[in-house]
Amino acid sequence: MRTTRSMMVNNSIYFISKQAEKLADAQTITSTGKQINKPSDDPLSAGQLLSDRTSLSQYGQYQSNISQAMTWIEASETTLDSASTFLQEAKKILSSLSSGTTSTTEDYTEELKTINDQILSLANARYGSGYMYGGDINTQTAPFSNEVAVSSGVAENILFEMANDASSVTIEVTDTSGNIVRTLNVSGGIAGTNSIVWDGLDNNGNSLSDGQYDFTVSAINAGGKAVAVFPSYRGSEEGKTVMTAEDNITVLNNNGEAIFSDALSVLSQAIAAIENGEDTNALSDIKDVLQTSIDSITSIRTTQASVNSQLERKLSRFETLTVNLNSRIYETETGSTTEAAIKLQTQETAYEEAIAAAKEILNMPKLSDYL
Amino acid sequence: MTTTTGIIYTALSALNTYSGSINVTSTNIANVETTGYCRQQAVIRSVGIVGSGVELSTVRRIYNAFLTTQLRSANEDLGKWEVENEILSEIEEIFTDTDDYGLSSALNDFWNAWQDVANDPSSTTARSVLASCSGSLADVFNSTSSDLKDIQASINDAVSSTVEEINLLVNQIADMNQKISQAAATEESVNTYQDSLDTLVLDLSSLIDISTYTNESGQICIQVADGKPLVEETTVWSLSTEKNTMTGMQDVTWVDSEGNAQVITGNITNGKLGGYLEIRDDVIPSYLAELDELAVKIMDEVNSLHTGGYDMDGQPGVSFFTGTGADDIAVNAEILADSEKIAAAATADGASGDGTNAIAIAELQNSLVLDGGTTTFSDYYTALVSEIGLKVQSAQASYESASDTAEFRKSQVASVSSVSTDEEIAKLALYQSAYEAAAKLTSVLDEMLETIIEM
Repeated sequence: MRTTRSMMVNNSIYFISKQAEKLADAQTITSTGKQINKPSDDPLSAGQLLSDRTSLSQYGQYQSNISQAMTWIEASETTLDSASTFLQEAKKILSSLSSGTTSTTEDYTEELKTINDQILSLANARYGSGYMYGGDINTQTAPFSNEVAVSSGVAENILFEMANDASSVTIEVTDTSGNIVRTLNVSGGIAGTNSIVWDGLDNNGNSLSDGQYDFTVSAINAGGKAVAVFPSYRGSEEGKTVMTAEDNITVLNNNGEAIFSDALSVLSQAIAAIENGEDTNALSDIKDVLQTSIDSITSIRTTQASVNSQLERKLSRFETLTVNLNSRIYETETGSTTEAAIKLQTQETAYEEAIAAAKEILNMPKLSDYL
Repeated sequence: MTTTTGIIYTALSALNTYSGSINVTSTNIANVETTGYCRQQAVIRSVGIVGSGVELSTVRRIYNAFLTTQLRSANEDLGKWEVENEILSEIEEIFTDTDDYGLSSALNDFWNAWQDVANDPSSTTARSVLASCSGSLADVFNSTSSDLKDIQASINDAVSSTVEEINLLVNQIADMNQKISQAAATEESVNTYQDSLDTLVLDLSSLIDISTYTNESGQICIQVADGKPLVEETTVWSLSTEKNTMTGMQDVTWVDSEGNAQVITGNITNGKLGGYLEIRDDVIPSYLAELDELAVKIMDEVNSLHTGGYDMDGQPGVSFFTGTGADDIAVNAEILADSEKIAAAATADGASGDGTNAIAIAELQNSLVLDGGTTTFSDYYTALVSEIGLKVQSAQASYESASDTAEFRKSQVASVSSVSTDEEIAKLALYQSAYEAAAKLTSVLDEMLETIIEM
């Protein structure tokens, strides 16, 4: 083939510029530390990286969900532990009363009332932006409240529980300052949940302004004795659901009714029984029922502990998966740094050679040099 | 009979011929770096019977028509892949997700935000975070779609300007054809005109796929798009553009002698224009369609679950997303204004505390909803990114191979037509000595004439 000087020069310029491009690519890889800077660098690995990052993000979220659930269980465990202690205390009081070793019932009644208030406040414990034991309803009213709301002039029904049937029930509605605004007298009442309609008017027949009102209920039976009254559960039976893995939901038991209603019922019965001056046998019976509700809380704590250890296992699985995935992402993305360095060195050498060749061509002897 | 005067004429013809030849050589040397210049060769022949001398019969232009045609076709490929490689790399930028930005991570954040709402449904913080993550997701969809459309629009402008460039070149080619026919009439050399003509046609070939033929007088005739003439000797047809009412894009048209425009967009397959049209009409619309498919499916699936749930006030959920595709997907303004409108609960009673509907929506990330129920949202997007990566990779490979081929064809053409200074210097030496010999002959004849006169 006929070859001219300009052809050789043009060719060597072309190869120098091609080699410069390859050198620039190798430099990008070395300086960014990444084999894959654009999808086209390795389309399949780039896709794999995106999938891996998605999985990583999912694992992170599951870990966060699980940690939150475990924190809830920890808080619940502390709460239920206190509840057990208070109930044991109440049981001791009932023991000493039913064995007839003491005669001063007054102090004990006060103490039982305090314990009842403590249990109620534990049952109404707040958690996050809602309540701990409200089931999945978790509304803005406490699960065991003695509250009734008036909105747009319409009042809710007044809800409460009674341990036995009653013949007469008195409900006092108080405003936020503690003033009694309305007294309702209802004849009759059943054991279980009672729902009393209130027209939202005060004692003078005037409409009350919208807002929350407290109420207290007292009831007596046909024999004129006090009937045990305690707050009704406003929450739901469904537990709190947490997404702990793909297509996997863990339910946390926060059904306040199952946990606290028996205890609140038996405590209010004990207080009523003492006030009514019941005999030691009756108190002993109540003590036995109290033991049942202590047992039920213990069993809920056991279940909770086993859910917690399941969550721990899941958490450590996701931690392992995250570590593995991170190292896979690192490997895919960065590749071998030694390899990158060697490639860069090779491209540099090739570039130098292309330039050296161009120099030779430019310095090549010409016929005119010899004429 | 040979006369002394006759011999003088012979010597003179030799002097003329070799100075003319040296002129050709000097033209070659002068144009050693001129682009498109084909070396010329002095064709010397003896004139008639013995004693009549020598003449420079023609100055031949050295070139190979076949190699030139091959170079043009390599140049068409180069034009096409240069454009495609460049634009696809630009498109790839749009789909290059970094660790914390891009559609993929926006999707991840979106699903995670739903789970955070499920963890604490009455938390306004979790709800606001969800609303803002959803807004970001919609934004990424919007910007990806509008970035693609911007590229499409700028290609559309490039199509129009390329058509103008083609018309300009076509007119210059016709002018050159004209000059060649005039020069032929006056027996002037057409070599320089033919060099210019070849350069113009080579430039044209990088813009559009053409077929050419050269007529007996050396004029080049050009056709495009399956036989539509652009140049026939000195007659010119022009290309034009016309807005397609369906796509809103410029169609390329060929205007016939009566001034009627015919759409030839689909018949242009190579050169820069072919590359522009392919990306504008096939590649970008297919990516936009896939993006729309993804956006619409997310809207449909999320909306269908969301409207089946209940917001914090126990009201049935509103549509979570509004819009019709990737370009206008947006979070419902009601939700942006009030995050309590997010329907996290599955029942009206649950309202503020139930997160089961939020979990159901978060579970969508793992459901196979696309490609006829075989692919998740993330996998669909991942496949799209891989597809674009592969497309760019193959365009890069095609571009490299096209530029290698074009370079090879160029050097083949150069091998025939480029000036070698060594050759020219050798010829110069040759012509110089021939000229010196003829001059010597003249001086001998002069002496001979003097001898005759002194007789």
